[in-house]
Amino acid sequence: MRKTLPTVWAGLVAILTVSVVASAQTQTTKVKRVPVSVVLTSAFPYAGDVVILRRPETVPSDLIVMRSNKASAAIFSEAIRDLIDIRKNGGDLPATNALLRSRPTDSKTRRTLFPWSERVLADVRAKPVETFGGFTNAQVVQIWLPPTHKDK
Amino acid sequence: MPSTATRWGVSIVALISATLAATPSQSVGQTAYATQAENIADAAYCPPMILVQLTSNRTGVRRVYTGGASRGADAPLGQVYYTFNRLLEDNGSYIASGNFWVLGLECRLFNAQFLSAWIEIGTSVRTSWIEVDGSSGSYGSGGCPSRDDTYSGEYDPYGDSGEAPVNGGPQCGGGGTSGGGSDPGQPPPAPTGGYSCSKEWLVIEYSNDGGATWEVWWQGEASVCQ
Repeated sequence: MRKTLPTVWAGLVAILTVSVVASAQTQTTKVKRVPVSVVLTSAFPYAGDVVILRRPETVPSDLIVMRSNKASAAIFSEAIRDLIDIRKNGGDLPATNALLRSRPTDSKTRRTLFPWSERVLADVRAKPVETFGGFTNAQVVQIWLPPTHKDK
Repeated sequence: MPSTATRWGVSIVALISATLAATPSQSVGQTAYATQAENIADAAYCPPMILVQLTSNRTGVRRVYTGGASRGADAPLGQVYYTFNRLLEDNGSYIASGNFWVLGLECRLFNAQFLSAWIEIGTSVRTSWIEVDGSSGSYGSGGCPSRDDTYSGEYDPYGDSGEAPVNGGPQCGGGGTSGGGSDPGQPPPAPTGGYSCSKEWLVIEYSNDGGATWEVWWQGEASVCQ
């Protein structure tokens, strides 16, 4: 009897483990992401190198606009993080027009790049130049970010 | 918890306002936080609106928080409750409930899974916070890690949908003393899969004149997991 007890316990633990793992694997749901236009323009009309525009009347409502010759994966990644924070604070979809920027961080606090940011930037640069959203000499792609569910 | 209250709380002035944007007219000078969850008590004496003015010892930034405190079934006191949550979250800490004093009367704030708040920063921007269950968003300030993980090399930025845990998944279990739902203001727990979390002070500014001048729209300590 004493010899069989550990075996029984081991079996129970194994069953519990499998159940927990299976449960965790099934507890997922599809979520609709929220789009954002990524814009590079040589006619960047603002100070700095990047701004975030929120325009309720357009689709996508959000634009990350960067100065073409300054855009980098680091700047882009920071802008994405800022947009996510802005959405968390102001809603996935804006209620009013807004022009936002974030105070630049120094190299000590600069955070990790999104692994796909460089690829998206390369894709933008490969796009034809057009006028988009009031910006001339613009190149644009649309990407999607997870929702924050902070809708107004 | 006392340290949080001390750091943020010394300059708290609760002010009654008849309308959302009214100028504060009376100060109370009471400061109090509770560290335990409480169900709503009789709040018949609580005012319909409050303004809470706060000055951070650490940053010197003054903020004005506005919240409704009417007593309908649509959970109005939660607005004030979340205002306090937000305050504490900005400082990197969080408590699940709090009490505030208005004209010497205690108004208890209740825990609710669904909360909303009006927050005014400065005078130009007002934003609404709708807290669902704290499970969404694996990034920024607060929230829990999601499987729709933007920091993953497998994330497809061109995909219009992703996969996220239902109710935040096991790692987002309701923490603290909220007694219902998860804590939206808790820093994300250390996620599995080689992630680490850190905090950074974030300042986001806005411009109403095409970028000529900028004012702070929001700032706070953002938890970033990567």
